[in-house]
Amino acid sequence: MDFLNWAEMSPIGEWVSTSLWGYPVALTLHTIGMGTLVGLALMICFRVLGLGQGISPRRLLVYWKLALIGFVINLASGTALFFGSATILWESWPFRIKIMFIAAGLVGTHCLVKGLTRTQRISVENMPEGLTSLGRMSVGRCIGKQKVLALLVIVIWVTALVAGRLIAYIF
Amino acid sequence: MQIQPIVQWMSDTALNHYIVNHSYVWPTLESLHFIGLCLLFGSLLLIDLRALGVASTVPFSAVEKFILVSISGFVINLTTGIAFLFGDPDRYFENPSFQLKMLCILLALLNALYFSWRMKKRSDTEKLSVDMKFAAGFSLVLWVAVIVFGRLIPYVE
Repeated sequence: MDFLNWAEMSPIGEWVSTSLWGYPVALTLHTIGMGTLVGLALMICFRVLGLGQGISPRRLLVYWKLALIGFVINLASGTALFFGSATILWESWPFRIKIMFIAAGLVGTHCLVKGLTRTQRISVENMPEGLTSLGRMSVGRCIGKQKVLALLVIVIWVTALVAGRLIAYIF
Repeated sequence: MQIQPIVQWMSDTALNHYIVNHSYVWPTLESLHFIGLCLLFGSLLLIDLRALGVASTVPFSAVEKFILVSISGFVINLTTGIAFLFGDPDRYFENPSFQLKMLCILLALLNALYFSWRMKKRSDTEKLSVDMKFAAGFSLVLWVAVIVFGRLIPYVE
């Protein structure tokens, strides 16, 4: 495909594939971004599953915004890595699976966090003021459906990560 | 220190032979090592950034619970890391990037010990002193350095 050849011949593609430090620098940034994005997304899921119950679910939005900084790092470094060997990666099944699961992970975590902030707003609004201040448990507790989604999101991120590792082994 | 006899011994172990002769083992170890990295780094981001003042309305006592995840991630990576060493001992011991990675891990563990010792001694459970904030920032710098040196191991041989 013309685009794939153009990507490989572009200055970024050339930098990644032929320079001494292009590939290792892009790969290192990709790993730091992964630790930030997947790491924080997993922590959000663990909170939903019951760890650290003193953290209000509404505050998880702050951590999701931080995780998205990791996504921006990985979008940039991932594009550079893709440009470095676009024709090979385009045909790679682990790469295709990784991209699909990253998209699913982003949507899943976003829905989880948005759902939590909405649930909490409703529960606080519907509760008498005295009950809200007393009922820390009901405000901080996540419902069964959210826990199922959190488990699903964990599986999605781990699959994306494993598929990413397998790019180097399955051609 | 003579490292060659240790390398030779590791190369002769059953674990080395198993890793070398089964193609699925290395990518499996790598995947587990990356899962451990996410658990360790993600939980430390939560704890250290809170110590530095991010999401300051979140009680520190709640964030502290995630230390269990950090320990789990570290144990996964210690185990898989030892397996990497047994799988390819020639590659690691004399690699400068590997040596720097190990130094940073050692410093990060000492830093974590200092942080937890100060946590136990503190009177106010929510207010952290300057030295604790410094330790939290240092922890993030060190773990990022661990990732960087770990990633660079194949490129500085």
